[in-house]
Amino acid sequence: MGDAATSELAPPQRYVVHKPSGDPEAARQLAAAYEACADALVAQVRVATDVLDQLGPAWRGTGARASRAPEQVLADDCQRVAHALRQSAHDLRHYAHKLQHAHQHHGWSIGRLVTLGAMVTFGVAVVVVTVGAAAPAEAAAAAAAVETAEAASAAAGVASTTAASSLASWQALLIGVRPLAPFVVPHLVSAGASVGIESLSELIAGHGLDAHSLEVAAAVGFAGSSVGGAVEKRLASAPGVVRRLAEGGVWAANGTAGGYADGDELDPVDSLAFGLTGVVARDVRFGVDQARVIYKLRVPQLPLGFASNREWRRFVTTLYDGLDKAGYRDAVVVFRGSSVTGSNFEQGWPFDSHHLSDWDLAVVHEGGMQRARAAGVPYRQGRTRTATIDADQLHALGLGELARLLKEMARRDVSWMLYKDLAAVAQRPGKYLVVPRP
Amino acid sequence: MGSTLSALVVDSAGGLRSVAGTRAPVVDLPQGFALLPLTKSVRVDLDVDEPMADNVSYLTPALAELAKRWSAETTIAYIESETHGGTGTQVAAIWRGAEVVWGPRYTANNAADADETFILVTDPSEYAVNAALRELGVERRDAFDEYAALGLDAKRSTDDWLT
Repeated sequence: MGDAATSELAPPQRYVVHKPSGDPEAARQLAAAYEACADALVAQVRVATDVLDQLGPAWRGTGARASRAPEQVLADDCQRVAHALRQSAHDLRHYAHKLQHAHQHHGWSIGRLVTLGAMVTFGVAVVVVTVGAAAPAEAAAAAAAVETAEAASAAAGVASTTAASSLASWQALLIGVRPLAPFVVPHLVSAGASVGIESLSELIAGHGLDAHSLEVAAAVGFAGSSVGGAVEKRLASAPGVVRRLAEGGVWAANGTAGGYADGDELDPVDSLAFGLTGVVARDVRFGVDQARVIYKLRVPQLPLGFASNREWRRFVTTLYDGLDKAGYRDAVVVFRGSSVTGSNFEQGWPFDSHHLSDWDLAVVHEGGMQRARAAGVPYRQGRTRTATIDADQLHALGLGELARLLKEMARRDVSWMLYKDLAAVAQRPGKYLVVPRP
Repeated sequence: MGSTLSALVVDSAGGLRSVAGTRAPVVDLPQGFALLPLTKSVRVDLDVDEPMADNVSYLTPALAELAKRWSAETTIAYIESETHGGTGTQVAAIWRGAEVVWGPRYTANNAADADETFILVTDPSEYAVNAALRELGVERRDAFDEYAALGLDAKRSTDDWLT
C-alpha cells in the first residue's frame, strides 16, 4: 500500500523563474514622446519649406540656387528620421504590451504555484519555486505554471531587445543625418527625463541599448549648433550616460538646447537655419541668413556713395547694432542730403563732384533728444530736432566710437542729428530715406 | 552736407592774438582775417564753458561778455552755423568799442527751421554769418559767398580747425 502510494507521487522539484523587469508605463510614455518629436520634426521642415517658397523671386542668385538640393536632402532626411522615430515608438509600445503581459502571467503563475502548495522564495531577479512531493497531476500543473511564467518573461525579453535594437538603429541613422540632430536630440533627452531617469536607466542598462551611440549622437548633434560648445563641455564633464541624460533634461527645461529647438519666439527662417546646421548645409545656412538681411534692408535706391548692396548692408547693420548697444534701441535712422537728393542744397553741385560729399544721418529717438540736451546740444525747429552734433557731443551721447567706426567704413564724413520723430524729419526740405532695421 | 561751426572772427590776426593770448589757437584766414574756433577745450580755457541759457545757441552770456570785453581793443564777430543735408541755421553778432553794434541775428535757410527765434532767409547773402562777415569787412569777390571767401567751407566742424 505504502509502495503504491509512493509510486503515485512525483519527486520534489525546484524551479528558478526569472522575474520580468521593466516599467510598461515608462515605455509607453517614451513612445508618445517619440511620436510627438516626429510630428514636430515634420512640422518644422514644412515651415522651413514654406518660408523658402515665400521668398520666391525676392531671393535670387547663388544662395537661392544652392539651397534647392540641401532643402530636398533636409526634407528626405526628415522623413527618414520621422519614420524611424515612429517605428521606435511602435516597438516601444509592443515592448510595453509584452512586458505588461509578462507581469500579469508571472503574477498569475506564482499565485497558481502558491495555491498548489509550492514554496516560493523571491530574489532580486528571480523567484525560486520548490514543489514538494506531489501527485502527478499536481506536479504537471506546477510545471505548466512555471513554464507559462518563464514564457511570458522570455516574450518580454524578446520585445525589449526589439525595442532596444530599434532605438539603437535610429540613433545610428541620426548620426548619418546630423543636421537634424540639434533639433531631435533635445526633444528626446527631454522626453527621456520626463519618463524618469530610473526607468530609462533600466531600459538602457538592462536591454542592450547602445549607450555609446546615444552619447555620440548627442555630441555630433550638438556640434556646430549655437549651444554645441556648452553642451559638449558638460557631456565631457559628466561620467555616466544616465547622468548626462539627466543633465540634458535640465538643459532642455532651462530653455537652452531644448528651449532653442522648442521655442516659439524663433524666426521661422532662423529655425530653418538651425535645422540646417551642420557640415552638409553650412553654406545654405549662410545663404538663408543673407537672404533674410537682403530682404529686410532692401531700399528703392541706395544712397549715393555706397559701392554695393553688400557695403550698404554692412554699414546699416553696424549702425543699428551700435545704436542698440549705446542705448538707442528703438531708434530709426534716416539718410538726408545730397546722398539721397543727388545734389547739394545751396549750390546744386552733384554728389561728390565738387568735393567729397558726406552722409547726413538723422537719428529719430525721443529719449536721445533728452540726452542731447544734457550733453549741451542746442535745439532747433521748435525743439523737434537738435543742431548738428559735433564730435565731443557724440562722445557724451555714447556715440563717439560708433561715429568713428562708421566714418572709417564710409571713408567720408558722416554727420549726425537727433530728431524727436519722423514727422520732424519729413518737414524738412528734400527727399529722405528711412533706413530699415536688420 | 552736414557742418557745424562756432567761432570768433577778427579782421586782424594780430589783434585777435593780442586779446586772446599767444596760447590761443588762432587760425589765419584770407584777407587778413583770423578765426578762433570755439571748441569745447577752448571754451574751457577761456572760462566761458557754461550751459546754454536758451538751449538755442552756443552764444552764452559768458561768451558775450568776453566778446564785449575784447571788442574794446578790436572789432570782433561771433559766428555760428549748423547744417544737415544742406539746410540749417546761423547766428551772428558783432561787438565794437565794448558794445554790441550788430545783431545778434538768427536766420534759417528753410521754412522748417523758422520759428520764434530764427527767421527764414532764402537769399544766401542775407544769411546771418554772411551778413556779419560783410559788415566786418570781408569781400566776397569771386567766391560763392563771404563764408566761402574766408575758406570757412573748407572744414565741416569746429574741431576740424584744430587738426
